[in-house]
Amino acid sequence: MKKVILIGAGAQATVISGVLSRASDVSEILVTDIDEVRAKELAEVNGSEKVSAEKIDASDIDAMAARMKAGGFDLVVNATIPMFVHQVMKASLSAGIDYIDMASNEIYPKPDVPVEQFFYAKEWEKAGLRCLTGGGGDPGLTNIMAKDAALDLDEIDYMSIKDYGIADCDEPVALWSMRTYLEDCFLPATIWENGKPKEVAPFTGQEDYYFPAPLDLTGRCYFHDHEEAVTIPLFCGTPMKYCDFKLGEPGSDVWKFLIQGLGLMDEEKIDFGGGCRVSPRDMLFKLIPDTAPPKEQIELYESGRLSSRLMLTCDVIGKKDGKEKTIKMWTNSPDGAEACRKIPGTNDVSWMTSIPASVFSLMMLRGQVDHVGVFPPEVFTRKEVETLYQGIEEWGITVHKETKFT
Amino acid sequence: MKKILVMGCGAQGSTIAKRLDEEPSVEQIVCADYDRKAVEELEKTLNKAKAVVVDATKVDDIVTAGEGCELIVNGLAPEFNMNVMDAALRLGAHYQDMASGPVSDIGFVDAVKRQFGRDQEFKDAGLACLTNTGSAPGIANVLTREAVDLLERCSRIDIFVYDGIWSNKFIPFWWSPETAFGDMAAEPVVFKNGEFIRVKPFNDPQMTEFRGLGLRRMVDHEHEEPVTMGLLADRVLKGVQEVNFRYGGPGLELAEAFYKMGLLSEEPIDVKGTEIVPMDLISALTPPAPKYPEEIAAVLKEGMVSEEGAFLVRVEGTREGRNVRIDSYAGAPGLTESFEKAGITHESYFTGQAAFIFTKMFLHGKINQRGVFPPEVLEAEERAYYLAEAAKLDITVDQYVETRLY
Repeated sequence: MKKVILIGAGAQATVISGVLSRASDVSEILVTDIDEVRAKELAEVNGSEKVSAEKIDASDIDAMAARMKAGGFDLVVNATIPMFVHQVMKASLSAGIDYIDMASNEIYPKPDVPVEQFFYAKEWEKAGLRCLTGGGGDPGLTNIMAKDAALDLDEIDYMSIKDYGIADCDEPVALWSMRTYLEDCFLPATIWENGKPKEVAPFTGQEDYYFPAPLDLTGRCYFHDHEEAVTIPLFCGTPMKYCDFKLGEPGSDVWKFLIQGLGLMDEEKIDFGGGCRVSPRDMLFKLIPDTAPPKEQIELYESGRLSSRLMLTCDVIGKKDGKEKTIKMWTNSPDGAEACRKIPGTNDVSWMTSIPASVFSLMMLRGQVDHVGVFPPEVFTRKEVETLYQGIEEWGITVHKETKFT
Repeated sequence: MKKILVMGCGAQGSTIAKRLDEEPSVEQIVCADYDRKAVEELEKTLNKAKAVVVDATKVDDIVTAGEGCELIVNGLAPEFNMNVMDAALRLGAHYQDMASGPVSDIGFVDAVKRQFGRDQEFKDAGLACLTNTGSAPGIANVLTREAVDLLERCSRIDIFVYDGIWSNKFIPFWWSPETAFGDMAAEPVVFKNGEFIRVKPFNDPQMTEFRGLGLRRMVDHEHEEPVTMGLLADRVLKGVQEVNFRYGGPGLELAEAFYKMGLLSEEPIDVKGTEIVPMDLISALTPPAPKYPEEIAAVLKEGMVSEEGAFLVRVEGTREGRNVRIDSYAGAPGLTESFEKAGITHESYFTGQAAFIFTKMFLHGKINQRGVFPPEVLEAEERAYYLAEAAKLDITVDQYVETRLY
């Protein structure tokens, strides 16, 4: 029987604890957060006797490591915001426990370090521990889709990963942290070109892309700062010339105009009459909605006022035995309302991130991930890829794949 | 008419003044504005212009400026309509304006009613006060009456304006951004079942099919037409029961997103100890519409994302016992063509030229009626003259009549 500790009791932890508590080979799940009330509420909503809650400060490495060690856990799931990657990794390493997270905070912080987790690669390898980084939806499932395609090819000329989501509501509602999203949009993105990373300006790489059913629409996407474009070319094992990550939603252009046209993400205070000085970013952050709490999401979905759906795609052009092959992959997953019905308080976005994270976690616990050190999902073998697909399919996420030979 | 007073030398007033300058019968155009630079710049470009600085809050000043004028063309904001109408009565001059609202502190219905309420005064003076003479309102009202006259009963009128002019340079609106945001965040008036009803901003989003353009998203928008046509339903529009003004385009989508986020709110908020009105900051940050030829040329040089539009008046009713729907599309030059033809924007071209044709009707004695009235009151002969003159300026109309046989 396995024991798991979750750091962070937000939207991701809701889903992950929901999935793990249903697994017969998991006996204990400790949900922790700086906000003890929130952690306890999550445990209460989950309802399983396997789930308990405690207060933990993710910035306190020593206290975190001591609790991890004392609990005899088999896996640390870092479900807090990426700014705590360093601290949680250090605590896990100190406690000698395998680790998984869902995102990075720093893309190419130094040459040869694609994301910050790799600062600790040698220590983890020396300790014989496993650190699976980027083990969510994107990054995570997207890396697995990329690997699936890469396994079919000898070389890759082009790879593009896209994330497109729609959310329709009669009032402003945030299904994820809009503050983080806008900060990401404001940053330059990194793409992979001619075998090396290249920085590109925000809101460039505009592409109107057709997303198949169930979205069945053409949506506009732009380059976005994300892990996949730098880790996949390095770790998927197939030579790759080009890789990018693009993000889109119906409101993409609104954000573009808001950031680039009006300068609403500018931090410098401006004078706009009457001696009134204010930072546009401060005003924007004051007005944008906070992430909707679980109860509000349940109410909005149940009343039909909110509908939402997310799709991840991966397009690859490469060669196999000298012949060109084009591979198109896309996900089909529960929409927000269905996700919320399956595990109350969740939505399409947290589902797409956390179901793969849960399955990655179970694979780690069950000895189905045969790698040591720090690694992203694209190092997986064909068998590991298939195991992940089977696991997420049980929770309604399927991956479609079309291959065209030239 | 030998002497005309043009009040307001903004986009519309200056376009009309330029056209008047080409009219052989006109000897002098008194160009009046509060902005000395604007009137003096305009005077330099015309042969018959006389620049006068006028404070439109003072009726006496308007009367002094208009001494000897037979017509006042009011291109000022609707706030000043009553003052300019007062001056017209004192001068014994005909009057023409481009809009009834918005007027602060009173709604559109009252803004129109206060003008219509002076009908008898103008009749007694033997003068015509022609209101709402631009494109919409203006030519839209002419097309409406043209269609209504083909019916025995009119049940519904919808006016659709889709503005899909979008440039690489961030120009959200081709008229005052402050006015645009204000108009869009206002609660539109619709005329339904013979009553005026206020609906929420961006009400009733629907995809509307336009010939040659396809489906476009349209919403209710605050405008004069539902009000003037509602008030005149029985007199000239054969008992119409429903009148809507619908607007769409990327500028509207942007404004809607801003509105939903609270960025167009006029309620003060506290941002780190500073009290600010979000709308004030957004208005201050939004780039103004290009006005001068060199500014427009700079926008065109950066390229256009899209240059499409639709102007449709849809009238429904019965004729010989059968249901009939009449679609009238007005076509006018886009931004590039308007600039090539006249060095002005599409907005100035369409609205300014459409307004000038009404001015020309005054010059040539083609306005036969007296009192206060909008263009839908014009009779067949007057409308025929108007549409023939419009065609000379490349403003064309295509009318499609669909009859349900059984």
